[in-house]
Amino acid sequence: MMEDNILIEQYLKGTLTDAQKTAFLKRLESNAVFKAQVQLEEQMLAALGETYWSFANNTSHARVEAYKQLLESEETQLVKSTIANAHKAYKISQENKSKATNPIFKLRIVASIAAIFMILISIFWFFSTDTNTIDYKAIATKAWKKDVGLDFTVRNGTVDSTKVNLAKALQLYKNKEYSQAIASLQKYSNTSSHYKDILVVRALSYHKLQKTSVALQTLDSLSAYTPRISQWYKGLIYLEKNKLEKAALFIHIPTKENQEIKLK
Amino acid sequence: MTSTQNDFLSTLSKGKEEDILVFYQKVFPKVSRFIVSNNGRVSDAEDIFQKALLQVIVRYRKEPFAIKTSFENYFFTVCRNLWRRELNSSKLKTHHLDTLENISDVEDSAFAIVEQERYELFSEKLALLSENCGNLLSLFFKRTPYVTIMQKMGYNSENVVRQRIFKCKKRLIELIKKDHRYDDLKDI
Repeated sequence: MMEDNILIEQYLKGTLTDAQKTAFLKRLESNAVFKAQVQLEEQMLAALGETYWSFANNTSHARVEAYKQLLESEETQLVKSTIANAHKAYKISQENKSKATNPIFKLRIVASIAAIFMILISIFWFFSTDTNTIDYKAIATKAWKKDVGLDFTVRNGTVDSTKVNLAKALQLYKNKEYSQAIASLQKYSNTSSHYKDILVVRALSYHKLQKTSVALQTLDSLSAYTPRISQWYKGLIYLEKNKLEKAALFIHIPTKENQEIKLK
Repeated sequence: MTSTQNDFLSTLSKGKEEDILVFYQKVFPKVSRFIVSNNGRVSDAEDIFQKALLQVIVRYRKEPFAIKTSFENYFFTVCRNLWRRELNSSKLKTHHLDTLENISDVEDSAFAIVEQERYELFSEKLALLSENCGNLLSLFFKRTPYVTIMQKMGYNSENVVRQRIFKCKKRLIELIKKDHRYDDLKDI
């Protein structure tokens, strides 16, 4: 009788005769220890060689289930869209790099540097003026009250369930039930209708829950759909956090008490 | 794992666009070159790179794990394995289209993560064997014929090679089974 190690090796290499293979498969079915041994050797051969790969197929395994849940979570969806945004930014930087070798582009760079220099001087002037007398908090509160991008009117009898849920989520947000607002929108993904509106409510709810980085990441995702609303809220969030330099990248910050915040 | 690699992995796992962009600029060209020179296109490389990033971040967020090489090398291995998986799954699809169509993207990503974990367990244990055993098994797993192994490694007969491989494989299996991760990964 053939030794098990040789038998397993010949089975994995596909060199058993038909009769040997039938007997081998019968033994696999009836002997759990033997089955586990063959399975491990099969996995090692596929994973540690260079050409093949050892695939998993147990959909109900607890570890697979745990990863599935994690992959479907809102946090992972955010990471996914952040990776996609980084990818876009990388491609743009590569395109710009190849343009940089063009002589006309080099001239444009010189002009851009001059423009940037002028902007820097303006920013320096802006921040060096006495701004302590301006009540930014009051101005920001006025800007938040504009509820930019939060107009989800639902007519009586509407059959658009996403829109109805969105209106409910907005109501929860206005009632300061921020976690419930986020939870009520959890099932939606980037393939859902009204996704940009969903992102706005999510981002603002995260902001109110003091989860600033998640709020900003959500606004990063929103920028792919509606960059102006994304910019507006990024500016307001930074302003609320007293990060004037960062806020100034997105919005015009007033230099006088009676002025309003405007989008850049 | 060195603290620098640890810090880097931990920073990346926070999922900030700026950090991911810096990593893209540093590592993507190498991954792209590898995939393009192994029957792929740049668009395949982009897809694999994004899948690998998501995989590493999700894994680290679930259970922070240790890597024993530089993070760049580790990440390259993840990409290489995902590409190997992709090439083999195309082969599988031609034969088992019905069953594979039922697997969702999320399920497939979850499978890819546990398969990588299993690969890491196996390769870590392979690295613990003696140099001779490691070399022999590497050739064996690449399905090198015994006669070629005999000539390369200077053995007297194919039978000696077979016996030596059997002993080394037995040792490798012992090491794998002793590791607590094995119970969690064996039936996947």
